Amino acid sequence: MKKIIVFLVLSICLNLSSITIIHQNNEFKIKNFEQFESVEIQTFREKKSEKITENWQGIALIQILNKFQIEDYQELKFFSDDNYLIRLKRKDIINFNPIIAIWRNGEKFSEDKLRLIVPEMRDMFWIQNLERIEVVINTETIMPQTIFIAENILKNKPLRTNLKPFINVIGFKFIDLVQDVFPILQNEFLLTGKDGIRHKLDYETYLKDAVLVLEEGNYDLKSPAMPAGMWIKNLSYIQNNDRAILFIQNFESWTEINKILDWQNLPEKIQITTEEKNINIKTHTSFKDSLWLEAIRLDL
Amino acid sequence: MVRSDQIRFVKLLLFISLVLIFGCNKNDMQFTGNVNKNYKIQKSGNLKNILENISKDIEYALLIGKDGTAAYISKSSFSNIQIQKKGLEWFSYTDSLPDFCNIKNLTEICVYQTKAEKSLFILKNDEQIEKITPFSARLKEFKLLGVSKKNNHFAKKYSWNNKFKLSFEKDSLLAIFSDGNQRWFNANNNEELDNLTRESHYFILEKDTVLALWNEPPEMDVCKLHFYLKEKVTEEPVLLFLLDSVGWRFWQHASILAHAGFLSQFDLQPMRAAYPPTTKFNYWAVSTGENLSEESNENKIFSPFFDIDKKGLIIEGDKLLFQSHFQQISVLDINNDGNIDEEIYQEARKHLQKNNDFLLVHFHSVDDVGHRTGAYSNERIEQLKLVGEYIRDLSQNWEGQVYIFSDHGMHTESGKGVHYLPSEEDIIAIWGRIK
Repeated sequence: MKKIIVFLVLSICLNLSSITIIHQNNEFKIKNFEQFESVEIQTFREKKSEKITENWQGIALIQILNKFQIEDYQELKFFSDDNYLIRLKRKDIINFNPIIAIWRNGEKFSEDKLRLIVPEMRDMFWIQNLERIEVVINTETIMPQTIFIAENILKNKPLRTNLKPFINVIGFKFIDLVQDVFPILQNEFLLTGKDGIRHKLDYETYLKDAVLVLEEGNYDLKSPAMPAGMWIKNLSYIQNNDRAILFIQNFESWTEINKILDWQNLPEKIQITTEEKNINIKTHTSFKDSLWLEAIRLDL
Repeated sequence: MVRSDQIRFVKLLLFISLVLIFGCNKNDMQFTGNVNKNYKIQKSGNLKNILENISKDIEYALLIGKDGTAAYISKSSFSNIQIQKKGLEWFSYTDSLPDFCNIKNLTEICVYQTKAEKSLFILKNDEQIEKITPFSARLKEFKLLGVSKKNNHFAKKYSWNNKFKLSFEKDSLLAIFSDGNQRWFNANNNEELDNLTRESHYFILEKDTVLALWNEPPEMDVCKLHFYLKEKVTEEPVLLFLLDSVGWRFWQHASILAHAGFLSQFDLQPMRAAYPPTTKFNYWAVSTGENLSEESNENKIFSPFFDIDKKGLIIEGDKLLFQSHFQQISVLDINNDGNIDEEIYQEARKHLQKNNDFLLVHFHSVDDVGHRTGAYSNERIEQLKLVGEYIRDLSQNWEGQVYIFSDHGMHTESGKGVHYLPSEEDIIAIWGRIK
């Protein structure tokens, strides 16, 4: 009996300490890192004005991908045990050669505390307690056909203070903004901050209880289901399939929007619907034109 | 002779069979989702034209085949699809969209438009958790298989997965039905509400169309308020203000903006309004303690309220909704400035010292302004502040208790305020006593 219990405990521990890779419908668990060749890198970063140099020893991510014959990807999603999520594009993986670190400055991490280190990228793209890697084959985001203007949706919604679990904040529930725009609230939403930080997040997992906290006229996206590092400051754009919501007051023109969204082929004219009229307007005009600010929806 | 009878009989049989096959509409195409009634078509045609006959606001459609495969397409693709009937079966045909949009044995087209009057509102305490539209409930039954693009048309392929189900956290669940009836249910922890089903364009709970499910709603409701006030009026005179359409959400919104004015002197609480959330139904419920029905006696508002020797007065706008045994003063907007509450306030002032045991003052303007400018417009917030000043003056000159209640809330559609849904904005009213 004792042997069975010890065996079960060991099995659970081993499972906890593994990293899972999800590729299409397959799930691989990496339990034994000794099968891979070890690499060593040095990183330099600044934290609270202090310059930190660290030596990391671990496994090159490319080696792991090769081992499982994962070649057909455009992007990888990395999840920590608290659902912190970062995405790395294929070109970043090839150019920056990230590692799964097992040792830092000569000290070994326990096996459920392994880290993803991406040299030459800010440490917000690194991840602690790496638990899962998901392979994304196709990352194409389609150009939206219809864009709704966030400010003109929110002016018709009630401000709230009871944005649980956040206290002493004023704002809106995320659902207040998206409910009447998207036909169904499921699957991944693309969210972008004014600084260009982008996240593609599953609605049920991350956004169901999210809130928009009003900070100096801007909206910060926070969610109890998202680690604080993933919250989006000054939320500027949301997209799900062919519909999007734009915080138009964060931009001066489409050129600025293009900078963060990387759109190709923006049409020359867009149809604007205000409460009073429908009108076609050239996309190169400045957003200071009151028509843009009165818009309820834009049809591309 | 016998032979011609036989021929006639055979002809009759043939006719009946034809009627049975073609006349019983068994093979009509059904339109479901966010539509206001059950639509069926019998003729082939272009999808865009077919849908425009139902509503010009339809923006997405899910074409569903008998085998459970489905194609999700957007408005810009509607004109590229033909819906055709061959023999007894319907199918969709297109060569411009991805191939899976050609569906054999098409049985249903589920459509999306923003307005869905038969949505199911899920509320908890004083908040709305979710609004489930018939379209979203149907789509949730399917599993996404992939997205495809052809000739610049995007379409999504789905396959049927499982039946619509809803789980609840706690018991003490109030269901609101389309006929205005309300029923309490006990749904155990995280169990599905067994009798809830999704129909073509609405939801059914125990055979009736259900519009809202409300976990642990506010204790006070419009009928209970009647009996509460009835008790209070025996203690000392009551001055009661009816603030038309000032819902709990609007009240909170104005408070956050520090624009509640004198009304912040009241200890206000959320209150369940009757469905539909209109003045007629809720004014009746507060003044009689009963829900308005066809059998309701329209002469009895406030009539059993207190002893015959006590005196009551109602001051309101130019449209008297119900007759009362109390004296009723109907006020006109004499200066025609669109703010009838100024005249109501002036009239009420004249009656403060006239030994009334009960004085109801019905202010309308926050509702009027909201209908014109939207539920959370600056104009409406300013109007609330102004009415608050009338209430300040009247309350300070009244000897007795002072209460406020509202009949419903309001939400915005196309820039105008409306109230007809069992949503948090419309169905949660306010009530309370001056601090």
